[in-house]
Amino acid sequence: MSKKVVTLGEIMLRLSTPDFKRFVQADTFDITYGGGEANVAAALCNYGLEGTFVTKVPDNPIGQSAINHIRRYGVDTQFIARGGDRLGIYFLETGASMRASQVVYDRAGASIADVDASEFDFDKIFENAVWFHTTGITPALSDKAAALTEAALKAAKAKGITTSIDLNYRKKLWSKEKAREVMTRLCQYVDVCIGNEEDADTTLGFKAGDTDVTKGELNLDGFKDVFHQMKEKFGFKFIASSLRESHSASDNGWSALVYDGTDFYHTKQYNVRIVDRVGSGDSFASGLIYGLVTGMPMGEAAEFGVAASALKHTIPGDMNHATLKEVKDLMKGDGSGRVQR
Amino acid sequence: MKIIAFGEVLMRLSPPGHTRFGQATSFDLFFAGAEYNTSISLSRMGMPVGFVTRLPDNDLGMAAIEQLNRYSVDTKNIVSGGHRMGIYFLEQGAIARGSKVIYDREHSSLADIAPGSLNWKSILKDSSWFHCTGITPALSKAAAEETLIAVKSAFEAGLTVSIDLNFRSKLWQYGCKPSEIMPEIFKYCHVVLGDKDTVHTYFNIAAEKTEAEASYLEVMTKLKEAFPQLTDIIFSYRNIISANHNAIGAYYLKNNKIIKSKEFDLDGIVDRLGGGDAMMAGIIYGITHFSSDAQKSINFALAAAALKSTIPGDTNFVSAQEVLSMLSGNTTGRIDR
Repeated sequence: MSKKVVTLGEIMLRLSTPDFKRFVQADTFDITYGGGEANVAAALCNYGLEGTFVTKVPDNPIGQSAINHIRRYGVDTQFIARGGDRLGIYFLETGASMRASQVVYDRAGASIADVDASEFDFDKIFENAVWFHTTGITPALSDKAAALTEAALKAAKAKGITTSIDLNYRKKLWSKEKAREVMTRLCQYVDVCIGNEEDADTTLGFKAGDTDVTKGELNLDGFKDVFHQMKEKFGFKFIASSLRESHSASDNGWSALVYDGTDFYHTKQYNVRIVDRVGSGDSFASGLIYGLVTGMPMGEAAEFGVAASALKHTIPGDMNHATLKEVKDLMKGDGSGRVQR
Repeated sequence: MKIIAFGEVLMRLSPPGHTRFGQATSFDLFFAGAEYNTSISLSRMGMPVGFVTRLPDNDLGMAAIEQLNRYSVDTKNIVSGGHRMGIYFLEQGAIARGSKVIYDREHSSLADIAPGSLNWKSILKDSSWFHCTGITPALSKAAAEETLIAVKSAFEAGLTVSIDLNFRSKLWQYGCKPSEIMPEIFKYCHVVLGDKDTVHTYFNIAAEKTEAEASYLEVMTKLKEAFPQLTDIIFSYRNIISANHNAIGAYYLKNNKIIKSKEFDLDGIVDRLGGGDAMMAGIIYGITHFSSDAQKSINFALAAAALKSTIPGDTNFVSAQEVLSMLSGNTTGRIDR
């Protein structure tokens, strides 16, 4: 039987302008649905694991369409609660070259923000599961959503399930102070922590050396310093971060660093030309989780994660539809992009 | 003869064609809203119009303003603030499958307005007509208060004030009933577009007579008695034969006389939304252009609404000339070369 991974979080309606149009030019929006944890569940199903996604959506055709979207990719949606007022929306204008992508969030009052842990039977949800994953976005939605995240992490730990969190700080959703208070509390239940230097600083208060994200340059020593501090404080089993060097909105360097408390491993770096970068962090998280769940050593799992997310950059939408074989081929060095016949 | 309209701009998101929500991979984007539609329709008919609302300070709010600019509606009194633009999702029905609307407009920028924050004296300067609807007071207590301030300012400044009663049962979620809010606002209105059921809900005025036409006349007469400042009362009706086949008509009370409009049979409706808003624009145009001919005035309004049903989106992009041409009997739909 394939291994079961549970993720919990928000799924949103994503409305994006077609063909690099600006918002003011658009007459149509392309529809897709996504959210960090839903993207991870879908990617894991895609690699052959069992992905279960837990959320709450409104009981209307928009909520149903979100469920249908992830069900299409084989995600188990049976534990999704229905109710509340609305599905969160985010509007995306895709940038190109030196014009950055723009996101307008319209997610206040979403069903998942108005949620109670009693709407979910975690005993049943975690039955036979080996891994639980969530992100720092979910607790940022509301106090109720933070309470739900904590309840889920506790329930997973009580069953001996490995837990992971992607820190994913969203400054439009909460303040640094609030994020630190809540995330510090949640991280005591976490085994695998994913987050870049900026997230570590904003959500957990770990200061790095001298990295400036706007300059797009990497400072590995700064990361190592932060990872070490995180390990000391929370005792995480693994700490990982994807590393993006922004050459422009279209061209990035992409690699990852992972740490198990003893060794650091820096993966190979890919030069990615971006079709759609939204969801690339989730594709790294899902690749890393896949590697660790299936017993790969830390370095190999990180290589799998970074190769998976390098491929995600070429795929429109939030989710990674790269196949297991494609990821493995890329890991082995076939980055030619030649037509596969 | 400048008109000022006040209300909410909504983003309308529709699955293309007649696809259902569950099938859609894209949404067609329209901007909409009753007063917005009426404003653009009036501008298209050649009347100077200013639109007043509150929009979020983001690219979507800007897109709405640019759309109004595109149709020559004056946007200089639109204020910026709040968190979001109201949205409604619309699935177009066909034959026996009715259209479906999902509102997602809570806490829109206009609903969260601080009452008294708009400077109506300056906004209404040099205008002679003010228009609003019963939708804005349904959004929130604050929006209801701002509507009252607006109609009162307009009334006292000597403008003609029109209102489309537009009852929306899914709104009115803020703890007040329409009957507690609407009578006060209505005291400052001269021209009303409504119907029997809404008048009952808002003003508790109902018919004793049961026969259709007689009951219309009865309610209209009672409404005029209760609100003697009213000058023009229009009650419209819509007979639904199927989702894309309706018939529309109206009764018109003016100078103590009630007349009936020409009835239009709409077979093959392209987009049913915004018909009432188009009629409202036609009413304002009719009253201001054919004041001596009440029959022409009401027929013009109905013809405008009939043409709207042939146009996708919520807004009536027709010229006064096209409406007049249809009124003069050109309903064949032959290509105009």
